[in-house]
Amino acid sequence: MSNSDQILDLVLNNIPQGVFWKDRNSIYLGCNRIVARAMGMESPSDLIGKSDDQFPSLTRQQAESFMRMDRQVMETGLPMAPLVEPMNRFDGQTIWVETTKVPLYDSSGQIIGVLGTWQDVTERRRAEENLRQSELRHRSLVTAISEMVWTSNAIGGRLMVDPPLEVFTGMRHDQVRGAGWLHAVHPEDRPRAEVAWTTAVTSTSPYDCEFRLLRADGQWRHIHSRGIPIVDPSGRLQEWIGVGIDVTDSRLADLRIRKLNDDLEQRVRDRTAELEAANKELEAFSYSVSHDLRAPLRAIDGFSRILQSDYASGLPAEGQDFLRDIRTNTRMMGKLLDDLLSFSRLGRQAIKKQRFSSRSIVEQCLNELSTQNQNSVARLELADLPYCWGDPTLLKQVWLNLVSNAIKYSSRRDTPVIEIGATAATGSAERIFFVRDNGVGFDMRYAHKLFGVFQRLHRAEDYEGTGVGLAIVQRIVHRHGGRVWAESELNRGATFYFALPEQGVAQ
Amino acid sequence: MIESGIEILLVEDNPHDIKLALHAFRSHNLINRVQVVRDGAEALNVIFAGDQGESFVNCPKVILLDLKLPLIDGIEVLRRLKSDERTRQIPVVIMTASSEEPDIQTCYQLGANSYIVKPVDFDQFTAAVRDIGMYWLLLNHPSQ
Repeated sequence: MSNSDQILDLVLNNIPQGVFWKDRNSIYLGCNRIVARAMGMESPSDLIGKSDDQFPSLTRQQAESFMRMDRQVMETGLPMAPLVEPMNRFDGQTIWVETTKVPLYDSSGQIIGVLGTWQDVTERRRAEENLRQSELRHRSLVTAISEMVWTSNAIGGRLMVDPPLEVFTGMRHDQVRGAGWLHAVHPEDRPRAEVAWTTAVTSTSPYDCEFRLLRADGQWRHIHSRGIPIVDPSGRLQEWIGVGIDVTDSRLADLRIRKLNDDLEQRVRDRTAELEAANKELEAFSYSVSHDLRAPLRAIDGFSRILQSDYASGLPAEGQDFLRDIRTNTRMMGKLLDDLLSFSRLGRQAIKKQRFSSRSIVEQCLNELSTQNQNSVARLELADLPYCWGDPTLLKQVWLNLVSNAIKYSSRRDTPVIEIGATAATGSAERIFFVRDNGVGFDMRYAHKLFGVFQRLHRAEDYEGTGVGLAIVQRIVHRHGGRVWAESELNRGATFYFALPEQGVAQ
Repeated sequence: MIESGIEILLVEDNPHDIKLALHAFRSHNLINRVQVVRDGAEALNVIFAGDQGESFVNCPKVILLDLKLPLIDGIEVLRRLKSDERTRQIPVVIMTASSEEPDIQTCYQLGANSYIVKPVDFDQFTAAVRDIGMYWLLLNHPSQ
């Protein structure tokens, strides 16, 4: 081979494309190694004299298509535009090639054949197919969640919406195209929507705005429109893309919830006003009780007393006795009134909570009670009492009532024993205190009556009292957000418990 | 106008309370020194001797004043007594059934000398009356 032939040969067989040439009858006159190898031939010379329909791997359609293209090129004398077509290699594998063909002219301008090249674009085609699938998937996803997809150019112009706005709104195309989209927005939302868009565009920050859009059926739909700026690899703003999502249902749900809340709050306000009015009435009532009911009592007691002292001589023993009964009863009633007043006052008093030592409060109570009681308690067991969180004045009343009850109901024992203590905090949510006595106890079947106002489980002549003490205890403890209960066995004593929430525990 | 010799002015509306109080005073031989008026207006008339502006003949040694009175109530009487130069120094003992805190505070702020809640128990009541009588009349040195 001559030098130039050698170079030509080198070039032909190193081009990364298949190169071939055929005569007027599409018979191969020659090709390069790539083509030969694709057809399973040892060398290019093996193709000479053959045509496409003679290659076993090619399908009939492929061969006919190639030869048809050859004829077209030779008849028109025009090169063909690159065509991507399938081709079966000798091993049966289908590859995709991008083929171009040009007519071959001899020196006299006659077409003597066709020259072609093809490039294996199988990989490229696969990548393109994957890309197309991916795009399809993304598009479907976007369409599934949004009412519309939109794009605009970098400065916010050339707005394109899909599906077109006129379809959604029912307005005419010329009304809503381009910047006209604002006409479909609710007048109240228009200024806000416009400002949001221009701000996003000028500051190149993501766009996020919710507004009402008029739908073709006349309904105002809440559309949440969001868009992001697309920047090319060099950092320049290319375009905007975004979606509009119909959030009407959740907006309406929000509004409904807000209205429910407002209604609820109004009802709470009304109820509070009612309660305050009821409280005021109760205050007036208590004041009246205090004054008006006691005046006649004073008279009854006073005149009975005068009868007793000044007219004793004229009154037989039985008469004296009756007078004594009258006075006992008036005093009883006076005490009832006092207790009733304290009980009602409790409901109105503000609680001032603080941390204080239960022990010191209990010790104060014990001092006061011992000066009042002639029979001192035989045995008192005062355990270590913790600090507690509450109103000391009110809680002192609780301790006083519980301890004086314990003393009272165990007074008939030979050795009255009283235990005062606290149990370990249950997970530090509350503190439980107790007062235990070894007295007469009560029937647990009536335990639910214990804390009622004026409820007594024992006869007045056995154990004096008005039956308000425990009601006061319960009221105070409940106002602290705590609870109160008791356990007992008849003649085996009783234990009264009360639990107070610790500091910081929500009530 | 104050009757001469009167040292205790009892301003009380309730007839039973009056009766009981007088009985108590009687049992301690203080009855001759007591004058009773039935409402706030009468109390002020007696002390300030009407419109003539004459000064009274005698200041009582002590005024026992109930709060709930017809016409002019006890608090108003107290205010007038304590805001007038001539009567400011008369000891006023508030006797009332009300143990409501605001009343007590108001009375002390206006200058009441003492505040007693009328007990139901008559023995306690007579003891209170006796104590008041004894203290203000016999033991206390009045201002001159």
